[in-house]
Amino acid sequence: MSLLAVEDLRTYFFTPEGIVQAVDGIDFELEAGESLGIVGESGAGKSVAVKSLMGLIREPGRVVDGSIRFEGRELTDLSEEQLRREIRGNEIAIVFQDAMSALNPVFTVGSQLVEVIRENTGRTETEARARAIELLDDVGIPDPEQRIDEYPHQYSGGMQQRAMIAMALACDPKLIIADEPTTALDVTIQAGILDLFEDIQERYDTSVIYVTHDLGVVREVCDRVAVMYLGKIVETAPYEELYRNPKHPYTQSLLNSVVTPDATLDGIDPIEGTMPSGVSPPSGCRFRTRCPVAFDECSRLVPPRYDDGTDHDVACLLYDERNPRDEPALHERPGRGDGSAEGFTDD
Amino acid sequence: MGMGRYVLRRLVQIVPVLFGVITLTFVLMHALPGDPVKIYLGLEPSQELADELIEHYGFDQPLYVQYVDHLTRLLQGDLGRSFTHRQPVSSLMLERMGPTVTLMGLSYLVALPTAIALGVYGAARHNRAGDHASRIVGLAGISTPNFWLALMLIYVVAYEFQLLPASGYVSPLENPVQSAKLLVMPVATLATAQMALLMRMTRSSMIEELRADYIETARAYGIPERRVLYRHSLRNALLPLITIVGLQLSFLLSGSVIVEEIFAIPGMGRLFFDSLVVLDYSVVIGITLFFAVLFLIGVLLTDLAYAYIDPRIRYD
Amino acid sequence: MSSEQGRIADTSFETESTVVVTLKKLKYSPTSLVGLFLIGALVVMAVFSTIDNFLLDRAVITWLHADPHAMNQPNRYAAPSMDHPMGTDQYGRDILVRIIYGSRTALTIGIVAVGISFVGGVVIGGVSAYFGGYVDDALMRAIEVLYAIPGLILAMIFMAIFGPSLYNLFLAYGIVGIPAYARVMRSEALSIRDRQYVEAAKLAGLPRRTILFREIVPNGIAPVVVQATLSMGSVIIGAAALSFLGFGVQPPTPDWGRMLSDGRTALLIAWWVAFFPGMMIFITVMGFNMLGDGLRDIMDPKTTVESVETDDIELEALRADEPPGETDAFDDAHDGSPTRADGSGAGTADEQGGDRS
Repeated sequence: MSLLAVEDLRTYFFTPEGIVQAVDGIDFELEAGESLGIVGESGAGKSVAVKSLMGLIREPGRVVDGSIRFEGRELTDLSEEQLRREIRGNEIAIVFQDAMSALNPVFTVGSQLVEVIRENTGRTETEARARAIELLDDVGIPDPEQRIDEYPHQYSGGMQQRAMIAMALACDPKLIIADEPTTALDVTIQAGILDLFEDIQERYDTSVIYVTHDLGVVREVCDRVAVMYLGKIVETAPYEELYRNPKHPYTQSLLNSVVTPDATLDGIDPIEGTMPSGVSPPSGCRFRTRCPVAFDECSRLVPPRYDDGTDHDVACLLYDERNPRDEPALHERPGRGDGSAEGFTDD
Repeated sequence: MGMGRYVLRRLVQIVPVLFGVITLTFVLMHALPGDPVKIYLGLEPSQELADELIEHYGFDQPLYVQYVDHLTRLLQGDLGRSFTHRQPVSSLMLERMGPTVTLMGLSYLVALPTAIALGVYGAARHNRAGDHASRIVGLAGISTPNFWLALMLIYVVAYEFQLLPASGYVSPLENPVQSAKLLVMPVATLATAQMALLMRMTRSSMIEELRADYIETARAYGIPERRVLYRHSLRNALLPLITIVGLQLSFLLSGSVIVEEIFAIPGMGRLFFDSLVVLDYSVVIGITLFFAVLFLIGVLLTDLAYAYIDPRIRYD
Repeated sequence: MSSEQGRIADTSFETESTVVVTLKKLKYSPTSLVGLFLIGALVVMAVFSTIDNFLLDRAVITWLHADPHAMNQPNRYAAPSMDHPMGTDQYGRDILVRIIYGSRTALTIGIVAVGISFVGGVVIGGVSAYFGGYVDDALMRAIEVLYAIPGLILAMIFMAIFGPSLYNLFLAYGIVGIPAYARVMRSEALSIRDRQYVEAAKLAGLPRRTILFREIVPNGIAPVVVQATLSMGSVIIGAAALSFLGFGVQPPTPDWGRMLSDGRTALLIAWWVAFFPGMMIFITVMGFNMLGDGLRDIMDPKTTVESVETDDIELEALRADEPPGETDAFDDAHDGSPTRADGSGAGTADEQGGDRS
């Protein structure tokens, strides 16, 4: 049994402008100890999707449909109080993008850690404090005995993110969600944080979901990748497979728009246009408005997930057996070998 | 952290402002119409008395000499003598300080906790019925003229229902029960607008805080909603409130004039009013100065409180 | 940053004027609509009584109901009735018509005093921020002096010295209000001073005065306008308080504060003499506060919805309870120089957000 199984999850926001279908029917699974990357442009609904898992969606948003099974328990059936007591923090923990603003500026790092530990484990103040120092040490904060009593603004950006990770580890969660964990950091610090994630994943034996728009992060730490576009998952595959053999035209253009050290400038082929609004998404396939190989059916049929028996799913009509057309005309990508991926050009 | 030096520097910064206040009041009061001697001694003063007065106050000197004298006396802590009360302004003010301080202290004591509770309530129910109601009540509170409110309270509470005495003042030390009865309406009058303003501030500040990322963090780590509200948000939301609390001193001092006048409370506000009517200018200057000092110190204190609550503020 | 500029490019060349845009947004705020209605009613009353008083010698109001100045001793302190819906005062004058006439005084005081504060504050604040250095120091110390003395106290001293009259009342509250406007204007101007379009104007060799009043002030005026609406109410209350204490408008000019003061002496035998004028002050001030409240919500970049792209659905959703519209319309859409496309629209937000550091 997988650790987490999400089926047909739908999270909508009911705004005055209309219903925003931020997450519109996504499915994925996660095995214990596995790490999954969810990639996509900003606005694709990645963050909403993972926050839905923990029931963190607030007015005017709501999880309207779907199933989230965590260790066999249906999370959508739990009450707010049960989620708070039993899931948040102690089973699933989250690391936010901007640690600076995710930590409360008027409390010391230590008191915030201690509060979380006490709330979720029922340890005493002294025990919790000892544990907090241990955690800070684990995530690589020097002099944890002293620095525990400092305020977040006294920490550097990288250390703030490490403190956030310490908080995530505080109650031995089975799943850590990292929501753009390195986006706000300097490139030089990013690598250290990613190393830390890999390290703790091993030592604490947790699963991790990385939400990111940065394929470099995915390459570094993820076993498997799900590509999201406008509220839907368009392709899921193990990282190497996805990288070598991207099937969905969106994934292809994503990989194309990655600047690699050996790519010349004319080789860069960014995705054209901007993502449409979630209020009135295109009919049929949502990517069709920007898809270079869209055909008539794309506006009429919502592509199902095509599973060719391997671990590689794609939601694109090009892969329908009834599709009279030939294999999709992949556009030529510049030979890249093992070039490192750095990020989308829209960043 | 250099806190002592910070306080010292702030106190030094107050000096030029006070100097300005002294100069302004001096200039204003010496622009007074009429001959002060005649105003205070009647239309036909005895020459002896008039001379004494002129001698004492230096009315025969040129204005700049009077100004320098005025400054010198103030530096020595001498606020001058009151014409009408025939006693030093400082001792007069000391006598009248009790009621005003009691009134303002009680007003803060009532307004602040109520305002915070209601403000948090409104923010927690943002855009629901309770919030809309509190918003309207808040607007109504700041729109109510306090003198009107005072009169209506007297009419309804003291006259129609005879629940409380209409006016007067007894020190709480002398007769606590009677004192409390007499203070209910004045404090209610003074605290209404103050509370409404603070409540609105708390609400908007809380709404902002509840959108902060660290609130989402707290929720994501299973912190109970009540603690999210009162520990994590409120402390941050209080920051802008503290500044307002200091600035409200000015508002309350203005209010004390009206409330003390209507409820016949022998405080500094009433003393100011009475002295201004008869143009007893040393008292007017003395009280104005005192109010300004009180206000400036109040603002300094709130700035210190701000720095205490917000660790990011450094004293520099 | 790029999306920021995109937004500005979208809004800064709007054909509609900012005033129209703002007024259109008002429809999302029921409170400010009610406020607008109350103020509208007051303006109608004030205009009517002005015309009636000066051009027609109170003919219309007398024909309609009663002469606000007509005394009728036998009918003093008559309780509210069909003849006198709000009763009569100590001279037997009808309170309803006096209240209608009083609207003129209240509104004039509000507008003139706020006008004085507004102009004074904008000039002082703008000059202070633009020139900086000694000028700034001197002006700000002067402002602090005014600020340190409680408003009513200062106004009372002023009225005691210059004598109770309507014109002195304008001046007193006009001056008392200056510090607040000057501070708002100064902080706005400071945030605008270093923007590129101001730099461009400097490089183009425009005179300082032109830069200050054509580039800086118009771009920072929005918060000052909100301040004006919000302080209109307190000025009206303050002026009424002065009249109530006997330092304001003198008889026989109908004035709500003065009427309240008359009502005070007869409170126990004729509550209506004090009740109705106070009620009118309350309603008027409530109107201004409701409007100001709505305006502030609309103009505050922090409480308005971002111009909607699919950017950041969470953020958009969280803010969706606020009236929608282009955030920076007011800040940046003033008709200024064409070099403005680089001006950051986040100035006010930065200012507010950054004041803790």
